[in-house]
Amino acid sequence: MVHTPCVSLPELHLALLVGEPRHGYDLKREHDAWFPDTRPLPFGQVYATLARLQRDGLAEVVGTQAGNGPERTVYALTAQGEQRLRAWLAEPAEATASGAEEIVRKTVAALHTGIDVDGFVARQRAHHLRRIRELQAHPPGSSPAERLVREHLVAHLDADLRWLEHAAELAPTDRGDQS
Amino acid sequence: MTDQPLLELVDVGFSHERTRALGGVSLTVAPGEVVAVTGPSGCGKSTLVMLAAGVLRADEGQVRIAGQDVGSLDDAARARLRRRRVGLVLQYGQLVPDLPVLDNVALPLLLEGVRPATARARAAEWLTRVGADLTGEEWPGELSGGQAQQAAAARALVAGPSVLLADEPTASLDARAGSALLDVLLSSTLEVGGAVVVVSHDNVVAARADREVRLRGGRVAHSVQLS
Repeated sequence: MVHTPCVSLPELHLALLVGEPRHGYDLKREHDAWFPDTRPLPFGQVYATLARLQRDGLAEVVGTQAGNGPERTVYALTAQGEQRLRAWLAEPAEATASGAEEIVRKTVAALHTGIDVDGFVARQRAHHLRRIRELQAHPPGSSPAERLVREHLVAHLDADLRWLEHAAELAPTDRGDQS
Repeated sequence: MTDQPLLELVDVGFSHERTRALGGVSLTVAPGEVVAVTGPSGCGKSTLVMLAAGVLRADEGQVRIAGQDVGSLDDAARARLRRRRVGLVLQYGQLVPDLPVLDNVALPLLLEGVRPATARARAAEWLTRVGADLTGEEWPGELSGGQAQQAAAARALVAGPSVLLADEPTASLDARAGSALLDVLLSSTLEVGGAVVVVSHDNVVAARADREVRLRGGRVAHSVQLS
């Protein structure tokens, strides 16, 4: 399965609404703070996504906020929206080289929202290890090029797993005696 | 093949002096199963191996090897159980420095009273099977890290263990040689109905297991089926 770059944008918006209602500008600013080294979220996309979330019952308008310019519409997560977010985080990202961005989005969203971080890391880890296991069980063809393609994918999956270990270390701990 | 687990850790705890290394760890390994124990440095992986091998005694809980409670045995009985049922491969080989490599590999058989010529012949076979380019006449101090690991693997396999415990068994080898050694460790143990616990920080090694048990801070963070 090939991921398009912004396939998870609606769920990311839901994650950004966890904890407190936000207006579009606030949400864009928070998104850009979560992912400081990626392309800033365009305003147009934020408002279009929020409108779609509202239409689908995943977010709702809870008021307006007066600022220097025009009034800003404030959105909050609905119960259905939270359910959708949890379902997204419960599903590991694809174990492919192109799935790396999705892993970053899910991990950052899990860490910021605090939704089952350990569970997310465990599921994603298992998903990746299973994929490496599958690849190991079916050796590539004999040509060096085929082997290189296989090794590239395994190296990518391994890099994801190593990065996930850092995420696990950042996860809030509540595991009793750790000494 | 029986249903009885070959290795059981039940609510095991252990402290190194005043530092708690493991607490409340339970693990059951069935015949034919390969379990990877993973986790960050200092999470208790190596301590778990030493407890499972009966080298260390648990402060709390029980360790059973092939149904025998290790804590109830005296030192001699524990050593015997280890020789007969457990193969142990440690990260740096840990060969006996004043024995030539062939005698190191043959040691578990020699201690069980196997005739020296037979024991050495079997040791030589195992050195070949693990892919070690050694005559056996070398001294441990002359070996590279990878060769020491291969010799330690041969020593662990020579008596046909029921439980193979391997702590970073391929860490000193390149990817291809490491993979080949892992093949031998797994296939040789499984073909005699044994079970393998492999500790590794290498995800590619962990992916060879049927199950991953991940430790964090001396406790089981998660256990997931991979096969």
